Amino acid sequence: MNLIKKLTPSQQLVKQSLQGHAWMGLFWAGLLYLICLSGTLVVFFPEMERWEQPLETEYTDMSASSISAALSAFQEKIDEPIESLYYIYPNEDIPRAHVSANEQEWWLDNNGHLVEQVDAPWTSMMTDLHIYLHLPHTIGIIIVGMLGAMMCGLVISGVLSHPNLFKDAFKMRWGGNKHLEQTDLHNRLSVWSLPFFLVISLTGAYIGLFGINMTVADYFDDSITSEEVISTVFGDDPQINEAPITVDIQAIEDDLKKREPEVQFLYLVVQKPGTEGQYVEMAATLPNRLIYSEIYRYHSDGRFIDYQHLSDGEAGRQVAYSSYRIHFGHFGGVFTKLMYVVLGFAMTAITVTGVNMWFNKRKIRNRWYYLWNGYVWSVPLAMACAAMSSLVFDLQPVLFFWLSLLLSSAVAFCFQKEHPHQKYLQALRWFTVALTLVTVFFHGIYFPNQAWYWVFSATILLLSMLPILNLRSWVHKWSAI
Amino acid sequence: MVWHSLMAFVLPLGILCLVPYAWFQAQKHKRQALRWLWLGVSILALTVGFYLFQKHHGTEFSVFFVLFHVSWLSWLIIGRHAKVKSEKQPASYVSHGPKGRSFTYKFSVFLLAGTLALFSSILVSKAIAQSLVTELINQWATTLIIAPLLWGAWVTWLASDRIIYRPISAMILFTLLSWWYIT
Repeated sequence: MNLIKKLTPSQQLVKQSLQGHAWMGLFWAGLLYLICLSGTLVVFFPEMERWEQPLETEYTDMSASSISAALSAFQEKIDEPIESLYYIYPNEDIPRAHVSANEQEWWLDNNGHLVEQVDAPWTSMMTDLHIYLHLPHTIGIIIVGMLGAMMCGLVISGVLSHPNLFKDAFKMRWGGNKHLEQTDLHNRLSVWSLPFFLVISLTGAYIGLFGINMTVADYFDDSITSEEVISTVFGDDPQINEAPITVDIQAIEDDLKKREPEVQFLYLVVQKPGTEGQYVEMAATLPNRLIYSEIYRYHSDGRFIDYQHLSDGEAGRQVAYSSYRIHFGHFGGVFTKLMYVVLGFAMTAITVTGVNMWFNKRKIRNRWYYLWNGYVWSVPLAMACAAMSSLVFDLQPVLFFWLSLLLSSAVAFCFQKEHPHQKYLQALRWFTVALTLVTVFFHGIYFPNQAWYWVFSATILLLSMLPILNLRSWVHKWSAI
Repeated sequence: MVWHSLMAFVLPLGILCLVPYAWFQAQKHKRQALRWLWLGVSILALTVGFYLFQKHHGTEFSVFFVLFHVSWLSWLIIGRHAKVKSEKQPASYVSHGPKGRSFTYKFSVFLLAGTLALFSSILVSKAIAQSLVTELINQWATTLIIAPLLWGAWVTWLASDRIIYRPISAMILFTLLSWWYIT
């Protein structure tokens, strides 16, 4: 075990890393907490969308003629030029198809009729919070990407500031000294989830900072423009010049199934519909592959053009195209999603315990400590409040999210003593459960026979109840077995 | 169906469970030989777990399954061996923390982190990628992956070093060198 001793960083390095780690952690904790918690929940965003807008008929298969009918009906509805016309196939997560173009989306029934406009403002609120922090998209995604990079920094400084990484790998002191408890929780969760933490931060930063990387490199490298970089990484568009005809979806589906019998259709895009440049892109997932999809290109009459080589091209292209599934846990089915939720909650807990450690180590109890704790428990409350405002009262969820978050955090800031503050936190947790319960039942009134709705509702309710359970006693029982 | 799930998930998970358990056992023993033995068991379990996952889910999924599933499995073992004590009476608290560095200093670190460190990380990653990778497409993928890591590392250094000129000088030097190399 001399190797472990050799790998142990020096005391000076540990001290400096710890300082940098604490600095960065404290500075970004508020935003990191929002990103981690919302990210954990939006792992299930397709299911959330399905839950928010239940439809009577659900199906996993649609005929090519129904798809054609749906695309025609949708094109007629949009009275403006369309650049890309999307048809998204039904799948296990959302067993219903939809069409979209020019920021309009419609759900379809099994016969290809437009049923209802896609309208899931709470899910959009949650995904926008995770991806853009509700800021204008360009700046929002850069800030979130930057937070990903800061997380990478926190991982590096965290490892360097932990000299007993191996020795303490299984140490957990629960109860007793609060500082030790928070420290052990923070360290054990973070050390053992290090690969997850690093992969999620890196892919998040990669997605968020793609644009800014391109811009800077474009400016300093005269040999290539950012457009050329994008086409190098993701592939070029084909150049078509022929009279537009009705898309033969059946021919395209048949041809693709013949070429790749194991693929699952994901979505179909009619590019530049109605123009001489019209062609069709068919995105399909390949079994056991992390790439989001392979894209096969066809002429409108079903003749194959080429495919984008996302699955078998250069390693760089494959890696770039795999980041989405790795980041959101959309691979390997529901088990992977559940694992992402567990590890995501761990990431959230690491953020919270990190700040708690700073306060506890210095034995500080002031308004800032109460504000931090109040903020931590106000975020789930604000999410529940936004859900209720949107699903029950049809109001703006973003507005109610921030209003309730500001208000309940501000109340926490007013506390001066520990005991009433703790009672307030408990009230916040109960209030979150109450709001979730009300939302689930009042929204569900319209869908009493939708079994899936109630199963998912029960899961959401259970999740909201987790914080009011006494976790300490559970660990006590588990360790006593 | 049950058999398939068992072989595809439950069995490899059960074997992966041995990874943290063997680590735990390795730590408990004082004798070096036993420690190495348990470490060997841990590596063997990792390999078998990976192999079983790979058989049903392919290599790509299995890499991440092995990396990520070990986390929560180890937490079960940690929870199992946690020392639970009753909560102590609250200690005497203070309302103010130690006086840290000035606001100006902190703000300048923040500004440097958002400008110089970002700028530097992109150019240095591009230069590293250009020097190590030949294919243009792979160069860009490498740049995009290294840049956030490097940015995080630069910012950590900025925030932790008592002499702030050290990271600043290093960043400027590496940025200029990278710029020269790229162009």
